[in-house]
Amino acid sequence: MGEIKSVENILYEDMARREALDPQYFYEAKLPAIKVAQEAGLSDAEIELAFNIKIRPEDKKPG
Amino acid sequence: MAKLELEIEHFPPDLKSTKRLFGRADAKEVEPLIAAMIPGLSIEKTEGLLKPESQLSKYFGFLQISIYPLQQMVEASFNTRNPAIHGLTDNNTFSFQLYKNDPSKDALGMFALPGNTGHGVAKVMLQNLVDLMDDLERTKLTIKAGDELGGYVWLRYGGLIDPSVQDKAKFPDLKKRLKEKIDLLAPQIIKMYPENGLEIIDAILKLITSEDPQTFWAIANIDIPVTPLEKSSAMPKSYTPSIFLLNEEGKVPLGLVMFAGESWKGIIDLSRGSPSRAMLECMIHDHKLKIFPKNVLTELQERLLWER
Repeated sequence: MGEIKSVENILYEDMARREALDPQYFYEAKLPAIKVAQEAGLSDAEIELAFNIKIRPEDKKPG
Repeated sequence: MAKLELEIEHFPPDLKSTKRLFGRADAKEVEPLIAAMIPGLSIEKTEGLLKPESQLSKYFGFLQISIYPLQQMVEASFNTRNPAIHGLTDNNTFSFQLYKNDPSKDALGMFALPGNTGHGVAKVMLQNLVDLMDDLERTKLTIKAGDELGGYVWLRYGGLIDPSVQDKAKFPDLKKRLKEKIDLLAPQIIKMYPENGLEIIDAILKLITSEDPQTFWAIANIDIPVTPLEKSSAMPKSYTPSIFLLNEEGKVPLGLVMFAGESWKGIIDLSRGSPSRAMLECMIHDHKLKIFPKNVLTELQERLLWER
């Protein structure tokens, strides 16, 4: 017998478990957010610190 | 071969009578899903159709399509009927509504799943929805994010806040609340990053003040570990830190604290190449199990052309 959980709860738990093991796991899903942050003026170093990821060389801010 | 019954419900315009049509879906395609949902369930193979009282239907219920002529809407849903597991008799696991004349109203309605979770069922459903929307040439899916985690989760799964359709009474407060939360979290950030904590806080505030709704994605993705804020009058009513999964130090990502409990309306833009779609697909990429048989898709397409 199990408890009822919302779908959002299930998606959250899956995401949290995976990211706890490997912060890079959803790197591709974070890319649009990385681009947005770069366009908002954040440096790659700030983004890496804030997002807890290593930005791949091809995704670094030009220049 | 075992068959799962596909129930097609049709509510006529006068709503005085209900016609029920019955189609057929091949259980072969949904059996892996059922097995994932209910580990250990022995699926009873019978020739012909599995009737509602059979073991498979008892546990899984129907793949159902309902037609609502007045609303010009078609709804497809998986209903679970497994009282042995969750005590309910008719609990939707997943449904969505497609509007004949107004695709902008297409909506995802994922209600609840039984307790046997962690098998990727929700992501299977989402992947199949994306496939189905592609086949139906629908590109926008309405999201109403809310409750304890929806405001955070859907931003991570590609949901894009649409400022033009927000609840006028609540939405203006969102940015104000985000700033207040940063004020409350600032001591933690500075303690963790004594050298550049203030720069980090400035960077986050810059994101909050941006007019581009996509910057909410960046805020939601901030993974600085923080101790969750206490539930208080300054937080949204649905904020429930007790359901957070804490790390070994009792902390969670800052982005979660920022959006948990918040409510917003928006879309997932399923246009090919859109960042919204890219985010969603990356989150569910490893779940490709097909659960909508071709004849179900055909039925939906025909129903969408209804009275056109």
